Amino acid sequence: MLEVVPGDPASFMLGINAEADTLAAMRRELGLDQPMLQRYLSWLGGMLTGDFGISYTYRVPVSELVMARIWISLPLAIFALILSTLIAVPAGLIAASRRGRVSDWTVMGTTQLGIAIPNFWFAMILVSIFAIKLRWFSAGGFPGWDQGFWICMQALLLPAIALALPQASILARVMRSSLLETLSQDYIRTARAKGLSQRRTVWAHAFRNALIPVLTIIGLQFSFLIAGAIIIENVFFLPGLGRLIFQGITQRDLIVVESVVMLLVFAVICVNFLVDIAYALVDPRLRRP
Amino acid sequence: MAKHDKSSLGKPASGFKSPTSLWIGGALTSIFVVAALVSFLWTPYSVEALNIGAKLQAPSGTHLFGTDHFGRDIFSMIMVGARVSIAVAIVAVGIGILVGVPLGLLAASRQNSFIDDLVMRSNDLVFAFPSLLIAILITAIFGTSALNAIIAIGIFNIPVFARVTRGSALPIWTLDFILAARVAGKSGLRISLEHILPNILNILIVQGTIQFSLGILAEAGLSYVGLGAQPPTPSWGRMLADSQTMISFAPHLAIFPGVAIIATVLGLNLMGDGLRDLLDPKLRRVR
Amino acid sequence: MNPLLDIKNLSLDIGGTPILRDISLSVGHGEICGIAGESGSGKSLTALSVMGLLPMGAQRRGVVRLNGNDLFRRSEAEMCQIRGREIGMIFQEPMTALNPLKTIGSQITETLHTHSKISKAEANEIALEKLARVGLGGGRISENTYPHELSGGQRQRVMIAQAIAWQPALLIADEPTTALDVTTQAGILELLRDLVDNEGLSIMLISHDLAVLADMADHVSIMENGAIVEGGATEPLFRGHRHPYTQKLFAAASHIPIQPLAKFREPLLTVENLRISYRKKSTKLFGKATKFEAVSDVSLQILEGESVGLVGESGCGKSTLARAILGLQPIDTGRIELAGATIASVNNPEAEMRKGKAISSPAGLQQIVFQDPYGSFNPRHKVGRLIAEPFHAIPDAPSGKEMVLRIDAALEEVGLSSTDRDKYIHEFSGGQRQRIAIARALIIKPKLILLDEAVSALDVSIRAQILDLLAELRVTHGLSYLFISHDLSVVRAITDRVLVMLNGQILESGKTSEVLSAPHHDYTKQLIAFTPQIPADWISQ
Repeated sequence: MLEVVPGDPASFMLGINAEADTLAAMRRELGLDQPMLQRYLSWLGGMLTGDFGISYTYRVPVSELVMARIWISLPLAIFALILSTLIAVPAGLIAASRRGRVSDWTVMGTTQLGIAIPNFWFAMILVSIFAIKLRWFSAGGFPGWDQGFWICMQALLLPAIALALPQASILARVMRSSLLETLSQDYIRTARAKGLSQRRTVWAHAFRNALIPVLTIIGLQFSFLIAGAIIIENVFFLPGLGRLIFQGITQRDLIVVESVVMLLVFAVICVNFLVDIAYALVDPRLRRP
Repeated sequence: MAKHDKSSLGKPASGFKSPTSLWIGGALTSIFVVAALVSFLWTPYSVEALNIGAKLQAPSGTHLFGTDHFGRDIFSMIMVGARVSIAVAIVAVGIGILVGVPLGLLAASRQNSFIDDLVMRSNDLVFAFPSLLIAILITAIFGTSALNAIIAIGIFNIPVFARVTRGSALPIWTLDFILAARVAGKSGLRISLEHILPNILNILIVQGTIQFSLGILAEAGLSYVGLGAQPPTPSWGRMLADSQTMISFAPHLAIFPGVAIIATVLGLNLMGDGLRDLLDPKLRRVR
Repeated sequence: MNPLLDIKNLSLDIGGTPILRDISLSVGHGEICGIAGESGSGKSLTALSVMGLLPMGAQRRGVVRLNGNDLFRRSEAEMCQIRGREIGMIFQEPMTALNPLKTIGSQITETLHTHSKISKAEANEIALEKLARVGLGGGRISENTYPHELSGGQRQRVMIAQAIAWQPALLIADEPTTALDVTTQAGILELLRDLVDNEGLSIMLISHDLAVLADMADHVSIMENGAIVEGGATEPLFRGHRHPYTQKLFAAASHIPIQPLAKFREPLLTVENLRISYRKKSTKLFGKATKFEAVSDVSLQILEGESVGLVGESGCGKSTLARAILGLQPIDTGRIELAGATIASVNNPEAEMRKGKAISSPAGLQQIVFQDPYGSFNPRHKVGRLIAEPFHAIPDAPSGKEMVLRIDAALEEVGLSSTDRDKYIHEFSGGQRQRIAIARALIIKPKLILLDEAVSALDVSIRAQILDLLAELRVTHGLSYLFISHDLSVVRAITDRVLVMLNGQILESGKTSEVLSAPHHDYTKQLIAFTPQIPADWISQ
């Protein structure tokens, strides 16, 4: 897709004033003079063997770039996901079990707000309060894993919170409505008729059944978090995959963009696969007979 | 209300909640719509004139929301920014509906056929990418402008509406009155327009308000990274981007645009909730 | 001896609306107490009041004693102890009453674990025992089976196993067999009878079906609009009832409309050697799709003016056959002709298999009336528009004033008024909706009307009225009917001939009175035997 972007990668790299034959030499080196299909095939073949090619801008193998960034984006995504799930699931559970009462209103109101807040704005506020005023955290940047686990986690905490806010809000609402839907099913009435208390019924029957749509959403959120956290990475100066692809696009670095995109597609397929497995674990109707 | 009866099965015997959320949401949203419309005719101060002498003033009697680093009145910028946000979001929703709904209706009318699969697979493909990424891609390829932001966000709305339309249309296709229409010799297209569409309209309206609010957030995000409406047109997202470096000594630069975004999105979501309650389809009302 | 369950002056309000008024009845030890009534009479809420499982906003008064224990004075925690241990309950819809994510074994042992600290092994043993007791022992079904692997009847048996796991003294059964086929129903009722006879279980049996209660109950209470209008021991009550409502109910249950004399003319509908099969996608990951034959070599004929019944249980292929006759279902081989016009004809299976398309039905010759009065109409359209829809199928449809006249005429013919034309469908009751459905079917003056379980979802008294209407219309318009039903009493009431269908094949056919009194095929005999009937000598004419 990017191949048709106006702006020849070679001329961009060398600056607009390059001599004609220097440009030709560069093109040859980068393989840009081969027909497109051939280029694509050889690149695809390379990717399967882990060789993503060499980035136009950085003159460094893309796989190196990607690997370095993945170790930031992936932990950040997991961190945000864990935070969001830990908050959202109990919140949704409480809201549904105490429907119509104060705790329900509180959860619904907070999540309404949480969905409406742009995560980058929230991030800016967090930085200004916790990093600048209170100086509890650094305002951005990533020290590198060699500095120690907890130091890195500290660096990821504020970004993870900023990411988790809207995610948790959506997840809590999904949990709540899924649980309410489950609670209106016939088998809940059966459970009560057997003598189970309301509380036990919710726990033993409703909760697991209500998880199924929640799993879908968690899967979707994970896919989003991996490379969609572009803006947050910008705010916190985290050299992650999102930032990489953003720079790749604005600098017309084809190889980087295509590689990250392929990686993303691969990741999404993996996540969907995992979610499908999770479904089959939870719902016996989806298992092979 | 009676003390919570623990022996009850947890559901009220009958339910009609008056949609207060609809009114609150409607009010909030209207404030910004009105502000946007009014801004075409009048704003307290011009947003184009730079007035360095008055820069970075805190909120006061003369400048309700203060001024920015170029001396521009923030209140006026918010009004004009509302124009952009709302326009982008509305047109993007329009694109999503105009293309997505027919696709969804088509897919539902030929369930499990090649067309259905094609539509759904393409949908999945678009869904696989974070919407922001697609938007960035499009604006990067075709240039940064409000128009391209509209197209980018609009493209992402298409699979959403296609999926929602198809999903809500499918169960209606199984009902007997559709069979009756087929016995009367009506074609799939006619049935989709006469019978299916009127019965899913309420779901589409609610989805529309949700996508509208998401569009506002998306536009803000795009402007924030510099890919939306370009200067000198003010936009809420870019106001936030500009405010980032000055946030410690001029927080009002970040607070007002942020609150504007939050309030508009909140208003739309509340409206969507209220509409959902109000338009509860009679199809689902059991005797 | 004191009764097991004694209800005195039970009244119930929900959200301020009175629902039950002064209900008094009792269930003795080892007895089956029947509660009869039409929908909305309050039967289920009576049961739920006993169990204490009422919706929010419910206010109850009165005394309900179980073995002398006043249930209304018990706290919720105490009621939890009583439910499942002293009273069990089973419901109407077995398909949704079990948790799909848990094995049937765990759902049975759950009753046990809730009420005691019994060990897992011991609970498992009891569960297996109960499964065997309800007839599910051995074979492919074990405690590790999931509900979705079982049929409706089997799920209902699991429900019973769950409910009796702790050997409660009382079982409340709320329409336990209403959603089941005749054969399956017979099995469940037999099981319940067995539990009463051999284990001293008492049952409160709720049903709208008087014949079922005649078979099973020792005494019956008749409910109307939240109150009991009459009650007593079964046989005396059935023989000599006093209350006008009871009389109406019994009359409707055995009502047979006046049939026209049998003067038929030429064949109207001919079906020859029809075969229809589906490709079922394999449930296995890489398995091939299997072919499933829904209709196997079916041939039938309907003459002008004749009413033919098609009897069969769910899954026998009757709906597929109906759709094929309407021209909406592609066929594999065979021929369907209506009034000389071919609807579908696919003679050479090999060559035409892939092209087996149905030609759409010749304009205006046939119409259909469905079972579910609540899904048969688009809720967004007014009644006038709904009724006029079939005009789309015929070339010179009237319009404007003439159309309105036709609509009004149709409405009046089914016993409604022309003012109903501007109302929406949700403003009408179930019986009225079926009338509107008949108006819709009638308006283009077809020759054949297919009725697919058209009265199955209606209350008994309404059903009688609709059957009367259908009989009358047949005479007036010279219509033919294809009446699809699983209910033999309906078929007996309104058809001249009957066909019995099972697994895609017609097993038996002939004059209705003859087939039902002297059946040939074993399956027909089984169907007749298993259908509960009020003993003939109990019904006074």
